[in-house]
Parts: sequence; structure tokens; C-alpha cells
Amino acid sequence: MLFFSRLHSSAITNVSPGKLVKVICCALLCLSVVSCEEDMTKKGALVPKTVDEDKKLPSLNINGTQLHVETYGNRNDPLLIVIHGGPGADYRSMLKVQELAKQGFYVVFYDQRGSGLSKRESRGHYEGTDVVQLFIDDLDALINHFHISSRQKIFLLGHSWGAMLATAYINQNPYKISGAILAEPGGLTWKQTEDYLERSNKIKFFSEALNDATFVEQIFAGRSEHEILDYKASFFSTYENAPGNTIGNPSNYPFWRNGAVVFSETIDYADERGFDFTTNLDKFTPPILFLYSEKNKAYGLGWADKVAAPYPNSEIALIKGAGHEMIYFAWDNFYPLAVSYLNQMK
Amino acid sequence: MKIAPTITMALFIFSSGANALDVNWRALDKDSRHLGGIHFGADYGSYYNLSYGQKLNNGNSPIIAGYELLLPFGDTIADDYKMKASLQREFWSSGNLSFSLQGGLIFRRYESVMARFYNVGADVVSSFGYLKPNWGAELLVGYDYSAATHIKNKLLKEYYPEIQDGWYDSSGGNIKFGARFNRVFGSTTTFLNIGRAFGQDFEDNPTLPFYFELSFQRQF
Repeated sequence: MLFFSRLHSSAITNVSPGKLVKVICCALLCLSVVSCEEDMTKKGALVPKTVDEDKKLPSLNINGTQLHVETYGNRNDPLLIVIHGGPGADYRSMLKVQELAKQGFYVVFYDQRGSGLSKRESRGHYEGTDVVQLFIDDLDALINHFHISSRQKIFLLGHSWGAMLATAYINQNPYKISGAILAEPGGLTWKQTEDYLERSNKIKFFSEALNDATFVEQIFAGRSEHEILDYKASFFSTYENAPGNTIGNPSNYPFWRNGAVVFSETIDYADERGFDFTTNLDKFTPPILFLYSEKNKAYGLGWADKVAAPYPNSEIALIKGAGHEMIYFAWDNFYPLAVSYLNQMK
Repeated sequence: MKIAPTITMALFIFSSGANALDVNWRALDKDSRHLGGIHFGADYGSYYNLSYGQKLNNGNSPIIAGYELLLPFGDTIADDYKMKASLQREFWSSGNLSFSLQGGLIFRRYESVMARFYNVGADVVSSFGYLKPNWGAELLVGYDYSAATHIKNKLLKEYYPEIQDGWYDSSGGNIKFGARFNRVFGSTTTFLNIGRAFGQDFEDNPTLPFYFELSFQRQF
């Protein structure tokens, strides 16, 4: 090593700076060429194809986009619409909910606009648009598609952001929904949500978790393709699920594909415009089942009471042995409560 | 794939075992050929960094070959790191005004439960400012380019078995604008770097957009 060092050192002293720059460029070019690289944006290489790219996936064209949609059960049974978290996540970790079809519910899963395996939309698609209203309109179109008679009851089951979206929908359609299960919505106003996020995603500046999430940003940077952005977003999920995390998740959990653009566009919209999903909730009289988890240190009964307060009739219940991702990690505790509530409301 | 160790070795050889990012050209001691530094900062995440620089000539406009090893803070040491081999030189000066350029080759390793990467890249940093023998202030513009990445997926492969491991082409780059201040105390110079990073498209920007670094450098 010392030999190389001296040899190189004496040789380089006699070379002009312009030549040195050329040497650097050539070395870099050689390294790039010998590596026989694949294109990062190749469909299906780093992230699964979406419904518009893979025709085998179950989908529905709705409200000007194409959503990844699956249904279980008898179409004439009461509707149970499953609304995943995020924004920008998908319903893969909630698939156990399909068991509720055996209890006499027509269970509908969907990946929200720009999320999971649903079609990706460009940033321009969201700019100047009421992004939250877009999500509400998608849900309304989905319900209208599957709702076949006025006697068929409609229930919503939302987790995290999905529970917030369910509330936003109920707030605009208080007489259309027969009941809802809401699992740890961060907040029902933007102010509440910011407050919750500050506690749940507290930044530990010197932690492995933060560096595992952010170090990749010097490798994947400044590219606008969904394939790259969604792949990069996968690494951020390690932060909230890292050992010792605040929200009580024991590990990572499966997902199909993050929706990076819809996530950032929704957060930007909320940050700029805010939201309040509680303005009309006093008209919604059926009881809701409001769930919070034992191990989420950012939630607790006090926060559950505060968030659920605008609902005139709420039953608050604790899911033991789980953190925020309670439906995936504590299904056995979640299921009896969900069945009891839904059968009572059916 | 044997290419990653080969690249690492190439960087070691190419760099002649030397590097120093920050230089006050007016404070360089003609009797010293070496610069050693320790750095702490935040850039994408928190890190500490060791640097070594060697003057390749001692004339009026020395070239400095530099070598850096950057390690992020965290429980697992050396699962992620960045190595950089660079050359830099002052290209123009007038009185105390100075313009210099630095170009470097970068090798990065990253590993988490999700995947492991080996990344090859390059950066160029230009600086323009006012330098005196005992202090200085400069403006910096830099571009950090990610040229090729070898990806081995871990948990992501469980989630998506059809995912493809291997070498991938450029995944973009970051542009940085900042300032560098230095104060000289004998043979020791303290540098403070602050600035902001943007994705090359100015849309996909880092989560922690600002960077800063405090470093202590000794000539010997």
C-alpha cells in the first residue's frame, strides 16, 4: 500500500490539474461501464407493478383513476370497506380482515389513489387540487359501486390515516354510514394530527434508526420516477418500526409498495391548508368502536378520549399486546371486538 | 460479485491514501505536508468523519490529495459508511480572494434490515471566498452524483420475491449550497460548514435539508 502511495504521489505531482480531472472522470466512467447496470425505473425490478402495468391484478376504474381492489364474501351482505393507513401505504397488513366475510359481511379492500398497487399519478395531478377531498370522493365512488340496495348497511373499518379518512367521509355523509371501527386515528383535525406525529415520530438524532432511514437519500436523490421514489420510501418505514420505537410495533410488517408522491402531496396539502373532520360529526348518531393499543406510547386512553370526543356515541376499547399496527400484530385480540361490534350493528 | 472490493481497492490506490476536505490556502504551512482532521456533523443524518490530506507539491499552488472516511452515528458501526478520495487545488486568487475546486470519487456502503447497497459516485465542490492566514469565509456549491449502485435486497425480498438484486444505474444526485468559515489557531484550524442540500431536480429533496459540520484540522 505504501508502495502504491509513493508511486502515485510522485507521478501525480507532475500532472496538470486538468489532466487530473480527466483521470477522475475516466475512472468513474470505467466503474460505471464495467458494472453492467440495470435501469432503476424498469417496471417490476425494484417495486411491484401497479394495476395499470399488470392486468392480472384485480382493479377498478373509479373517479378518474385505477384502484387496486379486492372483495370477499357475499355481495348482498352488509358492506365493510377496509381503509388502510398512510397516506401512501397499502392494505396488505390488513388482509386478515377478510375473515369477517365469514361473519356475513361483504369485505372490500382497496389501495387508495396513488398508493400500494393502485395506479400512480404525477405530482401535477394533485397540484391545485383538494387532495383530502379527492380521497373522500374516491371512497364515495367505491361505496356507490358496491352498494346495491338501500337496505344494505355500510360499515367502515379504518386504521391510522384510514380511520381519519373514514371520519372525513362520515363528516360529509353522516346518514349514509351505519357504523365504523376506527383504530388509532392520529387526530381528526390537522392540529391534533401534528401533535400526535410530534410524539409518535420523535426524531432521535444520533440513532441507527434515523440513519437507516436517511442515509439512502444520498444514493437516491433528485429523481422523479415513481419506481425510485417508492423504493426509497420503503426505507423510511424502518424508522417507525425500529427497536425501541414509540408506537410499539415489534418489527416491520409486510407491504406491497409505498406511494411516495401521494404521501408527500397529502402532507404538503394538509400542512398548507389544514383540515377539520369534526364539523358535522354531531349528526352521526350510531355508536362507533374506537380502538387504541396498549404499547403505543404516543397514544393512550387520554388521547383516545380526546380524539373520539366529537363523536356523539363512541365505545373506546383497548387492544392488548400490540402497538399501532394492532390489526396485523394482535389480530386475535382485535377480531373478537370487531365481530362483537359489527354483529351488534348489523 | 467481486466488483465492490475491487472498487474499494481502486479508490484506495487512486487516492494515494490521502484526503482533506477543508483547506485554508493562506494558512498552509510550507514545512508541513500533511493535514489530519476530525469532523462531526449532520448531512442526511448525523455522522463523524476522519480525514487525511497530503500536499503533493509545495509550490505556490499546491494540489492536495484527500481521503475521508465518514461513519453515521448509530448502534451498528460500519454497516453504513462513505469513503471519498479527492484532489483539490486553488485555481484563482487575487489578494485575499480565492477560488478553488475539489473533485472526488465516492464509495458508499449502506445496510439495514431492508437491503444492502454498494454505491459508487463522484462529487465536485467549488468554493469562492476571502481567506487570510488566520481566518476565512467562503461560499460553496457542490454536486454529489450517484453513478451506480449494487443492491442486495433483504426484507424487501421477502415482501416481494420477484425483486431484482444487482447493479443499477444512476439514481440521481444532490446539489448543495453552503458557506465555510475557518479560524486558525497555530497549526490547528477549525472549520464550520453550513448549508442546504437539494435533489438535482429540486423536488425530491433530502428529509433533513440542511447540513452542518464542525471540524478540527492539524498540519504536520
